[in-house]
Amino acid sequence: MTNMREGTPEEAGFDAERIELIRQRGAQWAEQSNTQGLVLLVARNGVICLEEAWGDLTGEPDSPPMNTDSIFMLASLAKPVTAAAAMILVEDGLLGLTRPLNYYIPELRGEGSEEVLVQHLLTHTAGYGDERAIAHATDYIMSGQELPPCPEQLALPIHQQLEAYYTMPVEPGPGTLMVYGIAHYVLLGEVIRRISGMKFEDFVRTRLFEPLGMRDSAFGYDDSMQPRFAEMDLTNLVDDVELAKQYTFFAPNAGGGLFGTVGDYARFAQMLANGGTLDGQRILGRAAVGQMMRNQIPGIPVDFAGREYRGNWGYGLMLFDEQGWPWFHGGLLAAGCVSHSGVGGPSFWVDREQGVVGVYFVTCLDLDANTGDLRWDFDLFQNLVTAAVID
Amino acid sequence: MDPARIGPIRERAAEWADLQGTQSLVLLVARHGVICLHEAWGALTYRDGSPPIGTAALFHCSSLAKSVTATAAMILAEEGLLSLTRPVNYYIPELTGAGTQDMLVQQLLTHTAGYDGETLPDALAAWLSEPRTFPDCPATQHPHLHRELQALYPQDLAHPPGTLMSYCNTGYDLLGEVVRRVSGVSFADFVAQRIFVPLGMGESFFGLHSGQRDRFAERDADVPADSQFRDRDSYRRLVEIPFPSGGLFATAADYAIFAQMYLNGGSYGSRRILGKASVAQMTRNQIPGIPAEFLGLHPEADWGYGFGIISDDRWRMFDGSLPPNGGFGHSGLGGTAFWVDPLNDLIAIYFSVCGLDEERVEHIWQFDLFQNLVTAAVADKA
Repeated sequence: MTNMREGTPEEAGFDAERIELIRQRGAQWAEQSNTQGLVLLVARNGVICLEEAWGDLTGEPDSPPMNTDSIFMLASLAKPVTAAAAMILVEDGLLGLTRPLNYYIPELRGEGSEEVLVQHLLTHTAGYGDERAIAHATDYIMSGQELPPCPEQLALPIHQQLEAYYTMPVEPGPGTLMVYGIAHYVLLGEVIRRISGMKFEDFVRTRLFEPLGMRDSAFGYDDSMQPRFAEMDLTNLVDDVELAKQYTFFAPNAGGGLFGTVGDYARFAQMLANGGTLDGQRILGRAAVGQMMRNQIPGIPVDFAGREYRGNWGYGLMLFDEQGWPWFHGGLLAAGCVSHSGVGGPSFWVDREQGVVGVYFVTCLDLDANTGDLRWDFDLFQNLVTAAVID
Repeated sequence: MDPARIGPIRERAAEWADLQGTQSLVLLVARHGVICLHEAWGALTYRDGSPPIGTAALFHCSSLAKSVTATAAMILAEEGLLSLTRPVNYYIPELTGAGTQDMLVQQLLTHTAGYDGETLPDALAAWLSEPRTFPDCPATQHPHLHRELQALYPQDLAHPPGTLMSYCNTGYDLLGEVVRRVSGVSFADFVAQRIFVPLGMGESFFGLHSGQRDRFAERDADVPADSQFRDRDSYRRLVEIPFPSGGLFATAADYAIFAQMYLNGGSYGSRRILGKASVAQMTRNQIPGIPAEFLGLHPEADWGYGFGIISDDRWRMFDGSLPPNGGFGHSGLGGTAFWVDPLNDLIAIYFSVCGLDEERVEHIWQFDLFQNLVTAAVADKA
């Protein structure tokens, strides 16, 4: 059981010169025109030997500098957290992943949706890929048809998109193809809400953020975050910025509405690296973390924004095999490492074998993970850290 | 085991027993040979005024019988009296159905003999509905099973042997007949002499006797279910038949001894039932590359000799998600199930009387959730 603390590279198990090289690179990366600001964190066996910020907090001319406690819009870094929340309910015997989704959401009625199992949501294999789901939800909501009353525990934009997903035909058949889609996790968040009887964001707060001491983390933007918020211009990243904020990034959206600091996310990552426990707090058991971190899509092809990939995925986590995912893997990480990223670039990885946690929070203005045209340095950062590991 | 995680198992169990569709529930969990949970919830029977259930209740184990039947076959194999790779008709020459000459004993164990498990019962019933003459029932056989076997011998295979797993009860009744012929005693006697008595499983029986009914967790056979449980009278007669495929009646504690024997690699206490090699063969996937047809097609059936093997493919409503691969177990119609987790050195028994959701063709049970709860309770060494 590893308690997190600050320490020197030597104490952590890194070559000090190579950690210093990371600092140089961090400064260089912050100077690139498409990066507003950058915060990096490196830890091994719970010892944080680097936690530093470069660049500006926002794109405003009078922006304060980026700080290690700056709060980032984390987008899809929500998904590992939502997956962990689901696994908590699995351990409590309240959620069965092999149960059909319509067992928990009886309103589910899209064509083919009776075959969707909860586990398909965790691996993006249910058939609710982004392109189709966003188009379907937009049409459904814009059609103006009357929806059931919004439950008190749901924000209206979440309620609206859920109602849309309930009618969406799944394509292709569940369990046959991985097509990344936020709808999978929005639905999973609703399952968590219904089983727990709490707002999704309250469940995550009480069962994850509070026990883990993640005091600056929350689902959904709150004005109180504003002074430390690393706000970025999303114009080049999404089609309709206001809609994207309202329905996804700034809403308590289980697939993409997380906010937090590097220090907080490092604690979540360290908990995973430890097999479910941090600083004496058991969040999950080894079996649950093990299932999150093993390949749950053996033999299943991947369609990543129209391109056919061959890759591994766990429950809520990208999983690297020997070759990793293009653009997401620098080449030095061994198979078995897990990772995730979000719009704008914030990313993390866990190397369980080496006990390494790396957190890379960045505000990249030209980052578009969907096209594979990533102008970021996450893969390079992985290589630097991995090369610094000494035994 | 983490003591803080045993409480949730009890809490869930009490909730499950309250659910409509779960009449009786007994759970047993043991790790490193230490029983850390052994408790009962609900009523003993469906009748008004039924006594509450206790842990000593006898359950209709249904297909958990197959693990015992497979054990019986392996005992004979170890004694050089049975070869798994010989054709079944070497032991039962009366088999005349098309294709059956190629059917091997091991294929009965893995449900790959070539029978269609779903249509076979109707075919047997149809054969028996005609006037027939056949040999008298041997002294060591039960008349109902004798008739079933006579109906089976002329049945054609639906598939070539060794190509598809089609779960088939009658295949295990046929295996039980092999055991009877090779051993020279009745199937129930063989199992009692070679398995139940040595293991001290005094509360395990093939075929329920009238003297045991007062502690039998009897289901209401009027509840919509498989065609076997057509009505209360049929069910009451059915439970007396020592089907090798599903006629086992036992307490959770007894079946736990049986499971622990497998976890121990074939012995329990001072008694060895099987050698390590047999246990290894029984508890690994014996049919790689062969799919299973069960509520949809599973590309890999993952079946051993008398056990399903836990693998990447976790089956809808049957499998939990947390038990590691390499575990093995079985489930039974009506709500019984167990598994052995060699990695964590644990066994767990889930005996229940529950209903079937006919529309979904699923048990209204919580075995998948139970598997997750138990696995989550496994504690690391500090």
